[in-house]
Amino acid sequence: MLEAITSGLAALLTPQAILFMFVGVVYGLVIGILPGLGGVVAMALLLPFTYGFEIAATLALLLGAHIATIWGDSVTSILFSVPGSAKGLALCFDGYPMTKQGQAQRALSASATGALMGGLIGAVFLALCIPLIRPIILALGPSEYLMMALWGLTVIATFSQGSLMKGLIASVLGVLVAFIGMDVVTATPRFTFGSEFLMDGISFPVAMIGLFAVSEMMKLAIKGTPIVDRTLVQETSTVWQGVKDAFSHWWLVVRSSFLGLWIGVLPGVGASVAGLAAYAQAAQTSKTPERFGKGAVEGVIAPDATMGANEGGGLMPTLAFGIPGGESMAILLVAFIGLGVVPGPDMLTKNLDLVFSMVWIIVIANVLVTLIGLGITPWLARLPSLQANLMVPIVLSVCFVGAYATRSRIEDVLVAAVFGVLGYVMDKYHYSRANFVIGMVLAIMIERNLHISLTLYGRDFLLDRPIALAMLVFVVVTAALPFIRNWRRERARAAARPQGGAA
Amino acid sequence: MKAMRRKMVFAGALAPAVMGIPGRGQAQASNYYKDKIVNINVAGGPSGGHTRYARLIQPYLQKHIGAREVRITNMPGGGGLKAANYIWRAKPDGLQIFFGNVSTLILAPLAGSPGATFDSTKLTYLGRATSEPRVLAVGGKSAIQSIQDVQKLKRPFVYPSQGTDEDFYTMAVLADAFGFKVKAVTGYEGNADTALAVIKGDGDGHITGWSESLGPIRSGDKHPILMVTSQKSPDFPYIPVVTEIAPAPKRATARAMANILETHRSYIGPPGMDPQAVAAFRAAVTAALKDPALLEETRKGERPVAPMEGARQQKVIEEITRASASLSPILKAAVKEIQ
Amino acid sequence: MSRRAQENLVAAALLALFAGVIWLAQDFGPRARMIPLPLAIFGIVLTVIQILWQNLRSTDELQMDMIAVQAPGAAGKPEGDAEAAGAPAKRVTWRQEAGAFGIVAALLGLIFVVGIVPAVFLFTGGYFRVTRLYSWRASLIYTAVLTAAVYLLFVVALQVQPYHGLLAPLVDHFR
Repeated sequence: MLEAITSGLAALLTPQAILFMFVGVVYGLVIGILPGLGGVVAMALLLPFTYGFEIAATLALLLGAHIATIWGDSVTSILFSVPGSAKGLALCFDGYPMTKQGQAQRALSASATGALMGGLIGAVFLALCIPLIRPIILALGPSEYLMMALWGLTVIATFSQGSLMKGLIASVLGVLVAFIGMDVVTATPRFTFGSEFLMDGISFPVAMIGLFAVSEMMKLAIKGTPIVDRTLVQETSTVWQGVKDAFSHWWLVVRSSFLGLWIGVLPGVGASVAGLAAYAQAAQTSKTPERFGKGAVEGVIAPDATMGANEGGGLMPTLAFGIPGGESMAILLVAFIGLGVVPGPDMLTKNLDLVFSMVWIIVIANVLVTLIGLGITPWLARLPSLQANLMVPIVLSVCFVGAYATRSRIEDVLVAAVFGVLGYVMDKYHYSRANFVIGMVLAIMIERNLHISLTLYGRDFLLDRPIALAMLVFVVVTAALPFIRNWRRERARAAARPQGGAA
Repeated sequence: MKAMRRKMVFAGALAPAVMGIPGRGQAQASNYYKDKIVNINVAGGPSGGHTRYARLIQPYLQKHIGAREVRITNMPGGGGLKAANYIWRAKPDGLQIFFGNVSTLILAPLAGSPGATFDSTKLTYLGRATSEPRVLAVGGKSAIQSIQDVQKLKRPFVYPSQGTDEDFYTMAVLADAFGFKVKAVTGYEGNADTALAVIKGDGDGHITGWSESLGPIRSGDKHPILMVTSQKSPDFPYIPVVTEIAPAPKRATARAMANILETHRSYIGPPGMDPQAVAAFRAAVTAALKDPALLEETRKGERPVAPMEGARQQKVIEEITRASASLSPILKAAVKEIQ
Repeated sequence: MSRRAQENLVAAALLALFAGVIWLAQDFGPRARMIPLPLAIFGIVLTVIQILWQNLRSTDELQMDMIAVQAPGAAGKPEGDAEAAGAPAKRVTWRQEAGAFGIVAALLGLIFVVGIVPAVFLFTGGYFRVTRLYSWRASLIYTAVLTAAVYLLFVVALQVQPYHGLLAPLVDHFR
């Protein structure tokens, strides 16, 4: 084992591997920052270039690019409320408010450091857990995925601070939008009005670009002042502050990382859910949940840590069964086959050094991304103070091009515009946009896994699945926690009042 | 500007391919495509497998067809239905060609799928690029070890599926041919998800392309019990083939299904396509797929081709049309079951 | 229009939408409507409660919360309104709003007519000029740089095939 660890590292120290790693990371950062495109596209486009190079170098290129997209996505979410892809969504919730308060540097560096720590924890546990992967994966199934998604839903309460009714209506709306398109469970086209385009459903990244980016730009055009007006709000934070934040919330980082690993192990759950679940977890375990959604640094650290760790977790099903844990892993699988390596349990015996090469790639790429990220943060943090008249046309153009680029379908540009208007109206009348997208992300996952659970195990499926049952209890408890805490505080306040009056 | 861009993209994506092409030397089959622009509409996104193959073959197709340009356009949507609907309505001058998975195209109208506005038997088949045997595999620890065991089951065969894809329909045809009941569990996220369900024992078995199942089969996590092909695989002679062991009265339906699956990734033209164009395009596809430079490239990249000539494909389609009367009700019943 | 009338208009639109969903879902099979149907009914119930609530309160309470979920005292303003630190928000006129919608519509229209890359050029260039942000020369240079960047990143590097717009067939015709 020790030998495999060192030889795995040695394979990455060739000039070719070092160069590829660097190219991959920079390329991934750029792709991540562009709206609409995520890690999958990054890897798919690199595939044709990978034939005939060293195996370790090829993997460094692909994995490095993929890892870099995580933080790249976070950047635009934090600075402009433009989620680059589904992964960056959770960063809009608290990262963007931080930017508006003049804490962009802190938010950016906290997210980069969070991703680094998550990535490292993920890599270490990937290495440690190798013998345990198979039994863990075999113990989980659709019912457990269902509970995972329900847990993500509980975050709705956090964003319903304005009005619970409006918050819930927004979520219902999001869920219904997710149902547009061909329902794969029953082969029924739902709410498609006979349109070929709607058969494929509303693309999630496109809807997000509309709801958040386009509507923010509309607001900016109306306001006519920069996102951050430097005459009113000074950039008060530093890069170092964000790094310190991530370390001082180490326990949150550890919890979020384990969550990321856990989600990575469940194939098909995906990184968009990972970010939301991390956010839910951070908000619900916080002692001051009311700060969330208004610029709480924990809301920035947790999702990035989870998504960083998710990479290590996502490799597990690939290594244990030769089954890709997600879309990006499916592309990695293509690369493996192209390189003459058949992924699967064999890898853990025959190609263990290759496995450790991947662990090292995760470590090194994460360090590289964070170093580059911390280096460019001071420059990035200046962008939101650019003039509105410069920002609006540029961001709007790039967002529309990005919306088109997600699926090369011109109708998506129209969808982005419609959702932009919808986002504007929702924001104006305080129907939470965050709740809308949470409903949209989780709807299909909940519906599918509910149907599968019902078909496989029948109506009382929870009784057959003790892990799922335990998870449900956990979901109910964490969802109730903020209410209970609130009630207690009220009671304490009520109890304190007469005494205070007496004194 | 436009031409330059294309060159840049081209050089970037396929640098090795470009270098491998010798000068245009061979005589063209006909001059039909001279100075014309052919559009290959790929039924999938730019990062998908269809596009990768289309781009791999493109330079060789251009060389052998003698057109001014062979353009690749991505037309994703509806699992290929968007591109197919487009081709169905295209001018039959041979300048608009479909490239992608044809099995789904043939099956969608047969199953009465909403969104399929074309009659797949009337399209013009121009040649196949690849084909991959599809295999029914059960979990490694399953009590089921053969298709006979499936027939003896006292309960329905639990079949985890993503939705109504070609494998779902294949399972319905197999159930009908071998006389067992299937309980399809739809809604899984992808092949990884269904594979895990089978390995865990949540499901009994599932159908995938051979290469996807290779890893788990080698490690013993899955056990292949049936190939849905028309011939035995020379590499795996121990796995029975559906067209050989299906009960005699149902063998024609089973063969039709195997034929449908084997159309796989092909070039298709609009109905009633210009005969001159058909001849020229078919000849060009055949020649391109035999080009030694292309074969060398596919070998290096481990992306095998499995050509079938367009004329032969057209005959197979006629056979499928004849069998469709018996196929169609089976597929429709299977869809009804999950609704 | 008063704030209450606007709120009621939004709620009415929501009611119509949920009713439409219920009507459409009648055509689905039992499994396909298992979640959408009850959810739309739930949506109607929520919206009705919301309508009742917003019409039974005094006008100045309209911005307030119906059920404060967490620590009512500390709840502050709802999500997205974090700029409270700045100057008191100016009243947004309907003209300004129409302008913002117009900007989006203009870009959308341009993309559909001239195609995606030329639209980026015309839209940003036009925007710079209309708002008098830059001189003619500077506008042209910045716009050209942006268009080139979009083109290089999306079309060349990421191999996105650009949409050429409704005018493209005309251009092809005369070529």
